[in-house]
Amino acid sequence: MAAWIIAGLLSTASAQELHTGIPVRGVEGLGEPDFLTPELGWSAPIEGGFVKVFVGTSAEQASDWVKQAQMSITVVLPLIDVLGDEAWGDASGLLIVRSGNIALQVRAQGNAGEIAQAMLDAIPAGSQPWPSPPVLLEVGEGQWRVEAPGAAAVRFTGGGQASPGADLTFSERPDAVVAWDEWGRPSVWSQ
Amino acid sequence: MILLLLACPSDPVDSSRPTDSAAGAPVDTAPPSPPPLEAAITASAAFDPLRDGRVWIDVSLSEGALARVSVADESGAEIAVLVEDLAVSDDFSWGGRDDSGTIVPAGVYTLTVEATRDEEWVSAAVQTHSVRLGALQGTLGGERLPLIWHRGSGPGGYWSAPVDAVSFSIAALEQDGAAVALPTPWEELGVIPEETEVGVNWPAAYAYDSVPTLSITLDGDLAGLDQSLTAAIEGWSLVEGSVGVDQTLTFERDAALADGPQVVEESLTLQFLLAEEVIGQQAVELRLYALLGAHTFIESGPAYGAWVAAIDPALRALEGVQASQDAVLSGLVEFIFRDQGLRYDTDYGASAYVNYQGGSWTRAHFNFTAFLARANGEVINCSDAASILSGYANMLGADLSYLILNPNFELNYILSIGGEEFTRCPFGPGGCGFSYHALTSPDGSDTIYDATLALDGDGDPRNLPGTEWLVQGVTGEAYADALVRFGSPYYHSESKGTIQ
Repeated sequence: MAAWIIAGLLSTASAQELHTGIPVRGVEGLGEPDFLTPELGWSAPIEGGFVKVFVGTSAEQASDWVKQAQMSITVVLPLIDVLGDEAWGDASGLLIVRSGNIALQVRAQGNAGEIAQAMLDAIPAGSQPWPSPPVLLEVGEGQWRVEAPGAAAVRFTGGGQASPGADLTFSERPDAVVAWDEWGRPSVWSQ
Repeated sequence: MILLLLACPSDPVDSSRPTDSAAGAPVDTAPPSPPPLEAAITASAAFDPLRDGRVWIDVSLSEGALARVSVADESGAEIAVLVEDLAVSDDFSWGGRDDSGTIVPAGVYTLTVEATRDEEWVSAAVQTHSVRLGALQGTLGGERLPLIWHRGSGPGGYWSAPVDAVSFSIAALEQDGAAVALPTPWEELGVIPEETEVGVNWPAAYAYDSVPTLSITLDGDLAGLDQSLTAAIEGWSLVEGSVGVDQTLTFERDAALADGPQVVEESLTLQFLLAEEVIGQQAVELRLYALLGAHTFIESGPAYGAWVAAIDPALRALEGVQASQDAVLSGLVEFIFRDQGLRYDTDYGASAYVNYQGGSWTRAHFNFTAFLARANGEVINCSDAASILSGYANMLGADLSYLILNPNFELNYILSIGGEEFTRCPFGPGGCGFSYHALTSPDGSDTIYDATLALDGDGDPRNLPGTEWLVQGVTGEAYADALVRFGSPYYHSESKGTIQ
């Protein structure tokens, strides 16, 4: 366990740097990502548990997410000084970590710290610009289509899809469309 | 039905035959001559051989005759021999196959009986119509409630077929000489049917006391049949329309859908009749969800309503419960507490599927999609259990909110979901309290339902042994008394949250 703690101390980016994010696909051990709301981020299953990830536009946003994550945990987690800018819980079963503008929660069976470390290690160097919002195009009378090139996933609220197929054509205009990029960053189109 | 009787002329009356007459008449000493050779045939006027229809045939013969019964098509060509050497009057049926085993096409067919006796010969014939008749599509009507198909993965979110959309359909009644069956109800509850028009049988939802209707559009070929047909479905009444190709029939269920919330799976038989005789029939299968009522979420949008994948198992579990909010909520508590394979997180009490957005207790966001797939496992906490319970309840039309009980308090003896024994320290020694607890209520905090835990109901919750007391409509005061050992928590933040 000591190895990942030391590696974490060495590799954690500073709070001032705006991280691009954590790849939603490609971190070993993480299953298919599930995208929640822009406030909540995304999650993915791991063996015996799950991870939740948030990429904010500031460290303050990520810090608020850490507090928010602790609200739905019945026991009070201790603050531990092992990883990132702040870490709560323990390195075994449940760990909440913030590194700059990224926050994550790992619920695991004995290896929460290692998984958190692997996720932080997957943060790319440098900072890429935040993705552009998706575009809603009116493609006909009462028909709209979402354009979100390069998005890893698109979610929407309100409106109505034109068909049960997977294509994002709407017969009723959605209220909001969220495109998630490959780093788990949401960008939002809204009316 | 047309009956032709052709008498053979070789039956001369013997003029020398003695007659029975008054006194003085000559006495006939010869044996009596047999009655004239006769043969008659009657048959159903129409039948649909693709849909279990048969021609019912009745042949009567003179004593001592031998008969042959055959079928000819409209050109006069013999296509089937039904009976050879029939020696007595008899009745039998023909299923519409020719001698090669092929079902005959729609058209007019002539059934002929030819009888011989000694040197005599007589024949009779009757016509029947081989028809095609059946439902090409059906639409469930009445006061339908929307059903939502959630998308477990991929782009987009939810699909709700319009409540007036076609419920089931087929492209044609017949393919390659065989009947095309109507599709059975779509079984993959978590997969949105990709096909929108043909080949899908969509289930429908109603309030349990609604009376569904079923409108059926007919197709076929009646082969020139000019007699009136009727249609019937047992347990349903034909309220509109008349039988004919391209006609639409509307049936109404004779009784309300159900006595309470449940899944109603109907295997109907649509029968077509000529007079009292069934000439063909077609199986129609329906899956109807009888809900307590329309969904009771506050939020609107495509995710808010009855999810097929959620309500199907819940309604099956609820079968037999009364049509009341309390009965439904109590049934759901049992369904979640006992039947879902869920376990309380005795390490941390961490939520697997719920987050409080923006750090607000009133903004719980429940990932119902992930829960149904158990994407984050089966270990849950009170926020999960409260959202699971209220999610199912509001989908079924049983109004329920979650609420929060805090700040920190210590516990009396409880049995947590998936737990095996009562404990007052679910997190082990030193872990004998909750920093908060989420539960549910339909009325503020007057009446509590909780699927996270069972209370100790023996009147002494501070000590063992424990007696399981499921939290099914417990008063808020009694609940707190039984749950809280030390502390002064209070109920607050009543909300329904959001789901995805």
